Amino acid sequence: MTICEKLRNSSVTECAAIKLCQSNWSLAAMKFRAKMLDVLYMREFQAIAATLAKLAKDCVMIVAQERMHFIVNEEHCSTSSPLVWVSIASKDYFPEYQMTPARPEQEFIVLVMSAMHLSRSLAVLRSGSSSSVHSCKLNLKQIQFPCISVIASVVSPNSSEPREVVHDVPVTVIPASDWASFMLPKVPNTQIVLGVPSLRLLRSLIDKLKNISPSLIFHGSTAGELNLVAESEMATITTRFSRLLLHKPDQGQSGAGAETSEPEISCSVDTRKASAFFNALQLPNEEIMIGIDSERCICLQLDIRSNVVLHSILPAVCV
Amino acid sequence: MKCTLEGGNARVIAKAIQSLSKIGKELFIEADVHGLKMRSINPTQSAVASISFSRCMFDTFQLPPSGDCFCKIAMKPCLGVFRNMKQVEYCELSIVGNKTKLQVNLRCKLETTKQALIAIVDELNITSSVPTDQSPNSIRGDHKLFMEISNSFNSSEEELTLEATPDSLSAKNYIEGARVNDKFMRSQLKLKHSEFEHYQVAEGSVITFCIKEFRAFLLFAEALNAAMTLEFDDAGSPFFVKIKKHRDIECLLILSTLSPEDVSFSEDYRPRDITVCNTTNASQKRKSSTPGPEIQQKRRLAEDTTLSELDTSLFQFRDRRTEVPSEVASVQPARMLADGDTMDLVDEEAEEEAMLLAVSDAVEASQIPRPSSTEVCFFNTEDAPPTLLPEDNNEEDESIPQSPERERGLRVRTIFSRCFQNTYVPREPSPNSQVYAPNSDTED
Repeated sequence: MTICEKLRNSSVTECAAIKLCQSNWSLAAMKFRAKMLDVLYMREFQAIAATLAKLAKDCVMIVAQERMHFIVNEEHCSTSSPLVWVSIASKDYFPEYQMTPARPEQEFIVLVMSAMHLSRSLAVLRSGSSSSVHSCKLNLKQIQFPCISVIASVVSPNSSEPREVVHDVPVTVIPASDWASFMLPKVPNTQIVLGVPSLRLLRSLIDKLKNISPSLIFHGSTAGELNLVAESEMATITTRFSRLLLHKPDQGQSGAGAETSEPEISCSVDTRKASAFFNALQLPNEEIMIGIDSERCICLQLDIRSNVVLHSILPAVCV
Repeated sequence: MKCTLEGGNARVIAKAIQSLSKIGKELFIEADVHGLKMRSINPTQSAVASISFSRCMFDTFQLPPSGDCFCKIAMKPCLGVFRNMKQVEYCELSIVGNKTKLQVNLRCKLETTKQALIAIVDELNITSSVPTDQSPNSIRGDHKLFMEISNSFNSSEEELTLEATPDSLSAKNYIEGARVNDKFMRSQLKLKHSEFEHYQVAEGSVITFCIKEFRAFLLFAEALNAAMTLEFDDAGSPFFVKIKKHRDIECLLILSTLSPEDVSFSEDYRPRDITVCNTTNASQKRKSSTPGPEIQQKRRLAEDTTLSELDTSLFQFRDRRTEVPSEVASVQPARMLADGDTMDLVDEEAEEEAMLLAVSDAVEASQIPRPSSTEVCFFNTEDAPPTLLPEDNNEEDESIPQSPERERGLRVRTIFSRCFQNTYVPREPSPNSQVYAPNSDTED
């Protein structure tokens, strides 16, 4: 108890020894076990991990009682990757899911790990046609250091029996005193949300616009139109997406508020960040929702399935 | 030596060369009554691969009058020659130019002929006196299985540890109990014995070896669509990987394994001594000036070398040059200088190889002063210098014997002579130089 209180009062820059002791001590009580059985879900989970690996080096994993979140935030380190986070309802992916925090009053377990390691440990889940995966277990363990043990049970066509592939992903346990800097970002309040059905088209478009202009302007209108504008000295390139589904403001309300709401909301963002986001996506989904908060940010949302959502925020830049 | 093959077999040889190129920088070719053998040894001398093609793979096969022939060529030109084999219908290999060049004639579709001349560096060969059939543990499985094992590990991994028990095999990228840093992701693959075609493990053993050479060999097994057999004993003993295809192609890869005390190859590895023996062959005897007892001394060394420790020399080089130095010394320097190939051999590569050769020369047992292309040597041809063999490593477990001194002829003028002195330490400043400013690095 005294150790815990001392740490709560201490600053983040305490010496590593105390942190290690505390994490070891709390790890004894901390428990996390999850198991996936469905091939489709496993493949999606692997795709999420692969997306995160393409975006940043480190990723934060927040394990709550009912949900699991991954956050990738390299905004300060490099200019190219935007803030991305994924929220997963655990009962969908993990029929067996058990989580015990370090102390009963705490809600989460917060871990930081290398995204590349996580992606590689799940790579076997992608193999699909050549060998079938029976199950995949995630287990928080303490071998010489804390790690998430990813145990996949694979049946290859050569053999009839399942074999085990074990990867131990080293993690850093974040104590509750430091959670403030690792919390889940809030979805910003946007004035308009449009659904763009062709992700692939957007990706190749933004990839090419990357060379034209450093900033990209998104103009969204309540008529269901989205215009992407890239300006350079020589040319201005506008791409118009029309007949898009308007998610917000709601269709039902449009009658009442049509006069008061602005006809067009726009925001300009860094093209490289946008391109990095779209190129990193490894998921099979084609529809993406683009929310525009006038002159503040662009909020991207990808609904992988009903309770599994990927968000990203592209901050506004001065043109 | 001259042999010809048709397209399909030529493609197999090309694949063999591609695999061997991932192991070592030089290709050793040996042709004898049974067929053609290709060998390669890796730079740290911890792995030797040998692929033999039996005579029936060749359409015609002619040997020189001496009955066998050896040559060593650089790997890079070979890769260039055998790169694109899809159009090849017919391939002819021959040694021309008085044993200075290997000629490769490729007859391709559409009446195209490609001809390449690769310079033969010298006539060294590698042999290993390792008994290959005595391992107590043997596992045989299809190449696909080993491919899956290899793919479970990152391509940047250096070592693979196999833990074999009578029931199961576990492939890991770490050693149990070894302390690793926190950022290292451990991977492990567990296989049951039923997954293999043949599984015989007497008692549990753990071996660790370099995965790079294993993967190169696996590539060849995949090209042949053959099964691989692993034979091993325990930590420290050599590890054999064998591939056999239709009795025509036999491949053997000998890997050294980490001894139980070591933690990793990269930290503790020490290069082994190269033992060069001068064996005489028939033509040498005819004009020989090499005394009799010398031959016997060398043969004894070959027999005595055993494999109990990692320090002993696994592989011996045999010098198969036919010229006798005392008579044709003037010809030798010309041969040793790496000739320009008709393939583009980058100059640095040639110099680097020549340097390697120079270093190995400094270690060699034979005292016939062999010139390297970095040195200009003038021989006093009347001298017949005595031979000095290095001490048999088995006798001294703790100390590594010094490199034997080169016997200097009276008129030998050497460049870079300081490099071969024991006291030469490149980093230390010479005592004559002045220290202008003290070392400002606080950690020292």
